Amino acid sequence: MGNQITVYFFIAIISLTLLLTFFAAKKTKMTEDFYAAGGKISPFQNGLALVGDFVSASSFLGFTGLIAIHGFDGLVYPLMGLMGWPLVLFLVAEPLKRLGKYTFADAVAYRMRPIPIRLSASVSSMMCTLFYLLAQMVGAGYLIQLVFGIPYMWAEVIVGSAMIFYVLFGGMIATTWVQMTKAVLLMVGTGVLTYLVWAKGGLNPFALTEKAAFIYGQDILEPGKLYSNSLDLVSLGLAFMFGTAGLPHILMRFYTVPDAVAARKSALYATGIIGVIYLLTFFLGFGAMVYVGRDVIASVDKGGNMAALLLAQALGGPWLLGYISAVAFATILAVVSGLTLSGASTIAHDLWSGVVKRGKLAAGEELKVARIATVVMGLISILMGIAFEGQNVAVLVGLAFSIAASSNFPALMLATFWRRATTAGVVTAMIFGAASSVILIMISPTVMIDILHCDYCWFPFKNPGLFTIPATFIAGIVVSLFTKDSDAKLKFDALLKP
Amino acid sequence: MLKKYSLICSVVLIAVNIAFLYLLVTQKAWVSSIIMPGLTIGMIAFASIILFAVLLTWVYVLLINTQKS
Repeated sequence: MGNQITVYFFIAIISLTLLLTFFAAKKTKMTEDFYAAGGKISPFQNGLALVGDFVSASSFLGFTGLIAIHGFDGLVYPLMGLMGWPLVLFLVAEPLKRLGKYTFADAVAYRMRPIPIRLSASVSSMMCTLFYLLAQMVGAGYLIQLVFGIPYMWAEVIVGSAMIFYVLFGGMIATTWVQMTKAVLLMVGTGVLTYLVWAKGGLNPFALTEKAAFIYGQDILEPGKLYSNSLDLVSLGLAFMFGTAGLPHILMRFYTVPDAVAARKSALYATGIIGVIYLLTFFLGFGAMVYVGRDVIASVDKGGNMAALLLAQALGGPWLLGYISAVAFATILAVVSGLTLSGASTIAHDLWSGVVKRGKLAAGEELKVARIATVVMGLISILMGIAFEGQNVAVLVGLAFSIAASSNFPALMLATFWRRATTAGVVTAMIFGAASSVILIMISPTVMIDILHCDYCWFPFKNPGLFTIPATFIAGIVVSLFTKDSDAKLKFDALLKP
Repeated sequence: MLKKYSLICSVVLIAVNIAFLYLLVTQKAWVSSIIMPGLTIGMIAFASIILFAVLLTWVYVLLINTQKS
């Protein structure tokens, strides 16, 4: 699909983001600047950056493709993706901002014994971040190969090097600006494409779905083709919902705003913008189905990931294709930069500073370690991305959300909402949630049937959230009831009691 | 008060989400009912739930900000 205009847009995006990093680097002097942009980001800016951090290429391109190929069934994914955001606002944003400093472990550890909490939080955070980052890197390699005609290995090197550069020199300030730029480009792109789809149908949105039903049959507007087990679907929905509220790279964005009020407002902006973008994917998906055709979309990419780009080409010619391709590339850069920063802060702040040095660091040491961790994270993701070429990485996204939902989210809830929670209980919750998620996904149909090609599986659900989330809460509560932590109670009364 | 609102809003949202996902599979015929050509109950539900989620967050922020001020 690569053409000259697309390449111009590609170069423009790289140049713009490098320029942003150049200016951000001048402002990144202290540890707080690196992790949290000095806490000076405005609520609206943070709302945009949250959109940039969350809406990955798999959301924008993947959801459009799912709708274009499967019709109504594809709508369920954007819906589940959005529903976690109000929970972030109701339950997570304010306590996180009030209690933490740089990472999600800060908020969990504030009233518990810090070392066991930081150790277990680091393990679950790193698992989430690495699984999610690897899935993004492999997806990015294919996408860039397909869109820009760059070989897979070089695509990995370009994305990996760019993200190392942004985070290493610009820290959270550069990452925020890259994410904001991507969010604005994405909003403009989806808006223009939706208008063109509507204009083609005489500005009557239902003429589009009517046409789709006429061409492909009424069942394109009916559910039941992608999933048939209601409990499995509910399980997936729960993992998406609670997972969003437990993803470390999303949670750390709430430290970039000045106070709890700003944290709440930024979550509200993010929810609204993501809601609009996901509503518009409905029209993009059905637009691609009608004006490009399912067969054409599937012939370029079986998963339908090129649907939005093909629609842009069909309705807007090479310029719109170039623009939407640039949006897809900016989307990748924004998400992987956020993930790299999150991984680096876990290593430098939670593990090095919190566990190894126990808070006794020389001036500038943590920032230095964070920068080294950024390079290491970047190199690992490039190498893993290249090594995983041709592998089915969808399971990694499921794993990341499942661990975030079953380990990070329950730990945060127990620590901030329940006075009786103890260090042992919260640590148990994190370990149990992460371990049970990994084990149950390994024996689920996603791995045993789809990847290992067995004709049986030991756990019948594709996502274990329905079981692991309540089981983790129960494990944390039971262990807390059987152990004592008087310090934790005192600090709760002092800081959190209503 | 903040915790009360937080928990009530969360429970409402989770219940709506679970109910919708469950109904999608168990009440397929009803979800597929055609309201007018090109528009089904499922599609109305999809848009309504997204709008509901956004409105709920907005109302929550208004409530909390009013309480705090």
